[in-house]
Amino acid sequence: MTAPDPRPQALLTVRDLRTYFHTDAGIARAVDGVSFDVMPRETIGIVGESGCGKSVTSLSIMRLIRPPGVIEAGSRVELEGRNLLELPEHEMRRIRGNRVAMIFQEPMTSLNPVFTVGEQIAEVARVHANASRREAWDRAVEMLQLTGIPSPAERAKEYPHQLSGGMRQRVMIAMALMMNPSLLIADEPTTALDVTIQAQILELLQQIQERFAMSIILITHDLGVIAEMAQRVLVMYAGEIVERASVGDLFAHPHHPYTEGLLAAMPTLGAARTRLAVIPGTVPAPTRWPPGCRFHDRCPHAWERPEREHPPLFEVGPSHWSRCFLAEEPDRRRVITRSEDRVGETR
Amino acid sequence: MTLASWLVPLAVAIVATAAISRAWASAGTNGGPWGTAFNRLRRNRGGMLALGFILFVAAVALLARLLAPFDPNHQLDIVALASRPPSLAYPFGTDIYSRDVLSRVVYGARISLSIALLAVAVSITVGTTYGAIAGYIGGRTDAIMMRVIDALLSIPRILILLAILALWGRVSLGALVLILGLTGWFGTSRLVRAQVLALKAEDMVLAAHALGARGRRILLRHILPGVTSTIVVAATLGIGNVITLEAGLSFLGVGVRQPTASWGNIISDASANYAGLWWISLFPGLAIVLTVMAFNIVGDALRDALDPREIQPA
Amino acid sequence: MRALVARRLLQAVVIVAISATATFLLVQLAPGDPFSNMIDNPRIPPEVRERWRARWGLDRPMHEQYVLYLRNVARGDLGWSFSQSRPVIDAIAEAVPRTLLLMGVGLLGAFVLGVATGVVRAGRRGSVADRALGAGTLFFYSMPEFWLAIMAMLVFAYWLPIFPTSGMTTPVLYDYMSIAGKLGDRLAHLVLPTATLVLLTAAIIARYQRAALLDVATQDFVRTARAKGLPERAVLWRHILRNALLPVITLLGLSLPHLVGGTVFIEQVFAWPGMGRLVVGAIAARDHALVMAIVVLGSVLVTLGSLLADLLYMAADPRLREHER
Repeated sequence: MTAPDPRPQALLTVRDLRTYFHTDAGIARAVDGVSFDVMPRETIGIVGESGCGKSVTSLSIMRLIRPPGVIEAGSRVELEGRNLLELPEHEMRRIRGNRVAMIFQEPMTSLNPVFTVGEQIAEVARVHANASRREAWDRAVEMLQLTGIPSPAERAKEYPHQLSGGMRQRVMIAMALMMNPSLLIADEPTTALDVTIQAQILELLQQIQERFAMSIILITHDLGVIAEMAQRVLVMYAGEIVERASVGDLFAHPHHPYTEGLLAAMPTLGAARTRLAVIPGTVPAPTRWPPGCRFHDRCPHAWERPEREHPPLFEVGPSHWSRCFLAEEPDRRRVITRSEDRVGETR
Repeated sequence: MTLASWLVPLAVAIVATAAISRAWASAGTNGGPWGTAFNRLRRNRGGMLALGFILFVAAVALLARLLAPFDPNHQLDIVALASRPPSLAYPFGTDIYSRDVLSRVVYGARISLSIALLAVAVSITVGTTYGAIAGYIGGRTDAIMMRVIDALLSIPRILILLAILALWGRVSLGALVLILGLTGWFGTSRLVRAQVLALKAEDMVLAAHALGARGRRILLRHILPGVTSTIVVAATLGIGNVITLEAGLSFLGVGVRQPTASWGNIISDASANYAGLWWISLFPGLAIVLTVMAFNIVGDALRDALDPREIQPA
Repeated sequence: MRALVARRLLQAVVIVAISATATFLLVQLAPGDPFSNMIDNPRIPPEVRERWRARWGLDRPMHEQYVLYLRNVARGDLGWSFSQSRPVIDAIAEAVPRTLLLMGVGLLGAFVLGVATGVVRAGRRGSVADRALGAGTLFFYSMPEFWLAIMAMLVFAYWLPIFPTSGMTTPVLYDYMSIAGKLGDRLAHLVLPTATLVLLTAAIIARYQRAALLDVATQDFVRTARAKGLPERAVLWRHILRNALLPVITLLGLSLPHLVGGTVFIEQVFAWPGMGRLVVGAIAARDHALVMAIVVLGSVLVTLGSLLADLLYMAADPRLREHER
């Protein structure tokens, strides 16, 4: 008899997730070997620019990928020990909205315009808990109240177009919470909202995480949101994780040049700078990932090795991983100076 | 006159389709919105096939004199050869006046196609002008102009046509074309107006203004290309529509009058005895259906090819 | 809400007025007057013709005739039908219900068939079924109504004598049938003309329904519905279809003119004694009053129909309803 594992069991385990889109223009490797764990009650942030694969990762976890997208064989997504990718569809349906819930970026278009918000929230309970109309409706109103919507009973009878953006997002959150899921995936939940509303929604998410003992995967391109909400961060680029660290470590000691670039690109109030520092170049096309390091052509430290060799993840600190050969050859790291007008480099 | 002579329009159609395809290919390499559109069009097999068929019919119409075995009004033998079912000598049979149906269908192609093309030309011209003016001026004038269009659109086109043709009695072919054209521009004007409004508000127009471009000239240079695609699609689909309409009117006896053959009025010759004279309704009807289908396929293909939403980033 | 309906009704009245005016102008522009056909008959002395003209106000200036015309139309006096030797309104009142029967059943059948076809095609996008149905839809869409009517008649009334070839009821024998027999007879006569109308209109609907379904299927709220764990059936029927029906309702409103026009040919071929057959006969007989009245009536039918479609749309789409706030 073996001793019980002292490490807490991960709620979600993702190993070598590959989601490819088989199009006429070629195979787009949107998610190309992503692995991470989500612990119970933790918020993990996935950050990266548009097209890096973060949304596709979350959709893959929920198995909401439609053709021509395919979650390739060899990928593993385990929730509370069960491999979600091997479940028959009707079993997976019982998990969606129930054990794992998801909220999206555009609350207006994410709600059906012809049904009241109450009906749409109640629908979750009717499908998963076989609740009666009455019961489901009552719980829906309860959830609306929980998400801070005033006069929830009246609001529930309204249609999406009658509500403001912030309220619609609260409705989405209420919908997600109906069945008390263990994992909430929030895909850019605040990007489409005003800054003041953003703060409210984030605060709400924190509150409900406490209350429901949920884990949250928070997907965003905004590092500020990550700083506020997450405990651990995954930085994604070109379909891969390029850096994985705790929030503190990431901000204090970023390793991967892309992360450095992201941090540098954040405009800060009061900084004496006339120009925003941008990362030059663009992401390569997902149908044609370069053979070596995918950030190579935009990296200020680049040399020959990353051009031909593809870097694996190196451990650069306690629970801090970076996909960069600088981990093995730190001298290659150039010192970047930023004058008022130019980004220069000295060796 | 012989079976071999039918290879001529077939050859013409194939060559013409290939030539157009080649021309589009070279236009495609130039890039730009038209280039991408042509490329997509070329790849649409069904569309190219339909285009080939249209060219085939057009060639048949043009070469009618060569292809038709007989004069369309020539009565072969009113005693022995009237109402004969299809045979080797007369592939589409003969009608009650002992005229060869195949010849009539071939000449009918000429009539039906040219009427449709000309009528649509009229519709497009009037509709575009009206719609462009309404869209460009905007405001109350636009609202009133469109209200009138709504009213005119609410009258079934067939009824207007029947009413006009009833009042005026016999009309010449030219008048028929004009009447068909002048009753068919309402929808086009709405489409064009919508496009003009959309393009007026588009950022590129605002940008052109901001750059100090002279209003009307630049508007025509920016708006016109956008409108052109709508017009082309509307015209193609409209031709199919008019062919059907003219056939219907001729069938009822108010369109193209006998003895001139049009696909529609050939069928009306069978109205005394549809069952006994089935070949008289079948073949012209098939000609109509296939031709209209071809126009619809090409129209759809054009619409798909020109749809900016379909444009993939380079 | 009521204000909206009232406004639409007013719009409808304006539209009908405009079409009546257009019709009037048409008559004025035409060569001769309604009595010129009688000029062919030399036996009518000119004084009689002058009297007829005066009686119908044709010797008065145009604007006076116009006012007279509008007044008559509003009163329901649509003139006298020479070919039928009775008031136009009587001839129309007899024919319209028959056309409405044909159109009503046809529209219903077309809606069901069209939507079903669209659903099947969208659901099995790219499959053999999709392409076959697509070809079939295109085939019927490109067909002239009268030709399909003739072919239907040839196949199902002559070569396979299942259905009767024409009319609403079997002449003579109908009067001796039992109630059940009468009903059966009426239904049998209804089949072919309705089927023709259904096939043609369904093709139009199916074309747009498929596009609408595919359009809606890519929208975000469908993804939300799946993310909630709804079974695919519920996603399709409750979420997708419910939204995709909206543009089809609009389409029904827009295709009404075409529908009314189509019945003209179908009635002609099947000798169905409705409005369409009436107008064709009136044209042949140069009965201008009857032709004009039917044109205006056609416009009225279409306007009413599209009003109904608009109301239906407003009921279906909550975004268009005015809310008390």
